[in-house]
Order: sequence, then structure tokens, then C-alpha cells
Amino acid sequence: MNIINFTRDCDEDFVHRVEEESGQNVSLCYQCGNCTAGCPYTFAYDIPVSQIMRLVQAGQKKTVLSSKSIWLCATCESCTTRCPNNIDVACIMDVLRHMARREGLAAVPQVKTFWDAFLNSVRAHGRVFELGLTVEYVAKTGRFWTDMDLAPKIFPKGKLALKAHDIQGKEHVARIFERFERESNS
Amino acid sequence: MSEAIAYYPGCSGLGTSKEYDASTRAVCAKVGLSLVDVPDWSCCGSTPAHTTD
Repeated sequence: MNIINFTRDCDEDFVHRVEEESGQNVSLCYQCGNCTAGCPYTFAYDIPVSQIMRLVQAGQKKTVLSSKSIWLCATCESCTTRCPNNIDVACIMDVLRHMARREGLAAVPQVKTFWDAFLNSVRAHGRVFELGLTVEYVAKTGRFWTDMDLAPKIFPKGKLALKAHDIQGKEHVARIFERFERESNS
Repeated sequence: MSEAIAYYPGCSGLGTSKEYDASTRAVCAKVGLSLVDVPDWSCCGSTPAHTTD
């Protein structure tokens, strides 16, 4: 068990920034644990989502932003749905992930690589091209055997297209990405 | 009465979760709803877009 000294160790600026970026009042959380009980990823998390909430209240920036949980979250929003105080917990997890990204932190780097490869695929085609995404992911992570056992199961079902489907307006989608890059760097 | 409803399958609806697409189309046909695919739809962003602001 970690003992946290609230007076000495609380990064209040971090708490305020999480609240500002998420539009949520984190002090409303009274630690009922409903979010963790409903979270389908608790089995894989290093810190359960209710404890992430507690650590945010306690201003434990480093612990929270270097946690694996924020990268394993699938944004299914079970936590948000179940919160008796209407806290949008999933939105807070999003904000924490964005903050970690800005700090150059990604405790599960292969997840970040996967999501980035997904977005690159959308940028190129307007829709995701799963086989292309897989190639980029494998090339960047070297994880050649990840989910290989699934391929013979999903190929016959026609779930893995061999050719990308480019939408007609793909350049408009690419422009959204370009504008995001321009404005987030300025 | 048949009502036309705009339908957005999403990338996964045509790929790894195509069972859902098939079920949706089959159920809607049974209850008399005709689905019209949104023309030239793009990716919704899904979970990956939640990793960046």
C-alpha cells in the first residue's frame, strides 16, 4: 500500500488541468468502485479505474500518467454509464491519455503504435484498411506473431479485405489530420 | 409501412464485426425498415481517435 501525503505530494495544478480539459469535477468521486466493477479491462489494468480517479484527486501526476491502464482503456464508457455521480470517467481517461502523449509517455507503447497506425490508415484511405494497419504495426513493433492464429479463422469469413477501400472524399479526411497537426504544434 | 433510414456501417461493420452488419440488415428487413447506406461515409475515428486530442 502506498501512503500519500496530500499536503506535501498533491500536484494541484495537475488536478485543475484534468478538470479543465475534461469538464469534470473529480472531487465528486466518493470511491464507490462501480466503474471498476463494470470495467471489462480491470483484469489487464495495472491500476483499476476507481484508483486512477483517487490518484487524480490526490494529484499524483507521475503515477497516473505513467500507468498502463490509460492506454489499455477501450473507451467503452461502462464507467461513465455506471457512475452514480454522473462523472464522465471515460472522458477523464481520454484526457489522461492525451496528457501522457504530450509528456512523451506511453506505458504500453505497442498500443500507442497500433492506434497511430490505425489513424495513419484512416488518413490515407478515409476508412481503416486493416491489413495495411497490420503491416505498419508489425513493421514498427516486430510483433509478427500477434494474433496470427486469428488469420485462418477470419479470412474465410471475408473479414480481412486484401485491398483498401478509398472513399471519394479521402483528401478531406487527410486535411482534417493536417489541420490538427498544424494547430496542435502552434 | 416502410421507412427509409440512413445507415452507417462503419469500418468494422464491413470487416472484423461484419456479423453485426449482417444481423442489423436482416432484422431491419424483417421489421420493414429499409436501410440506405450513407454515401461515401468515412471512418468515425473510434477508439484510436480518443488517444489524441
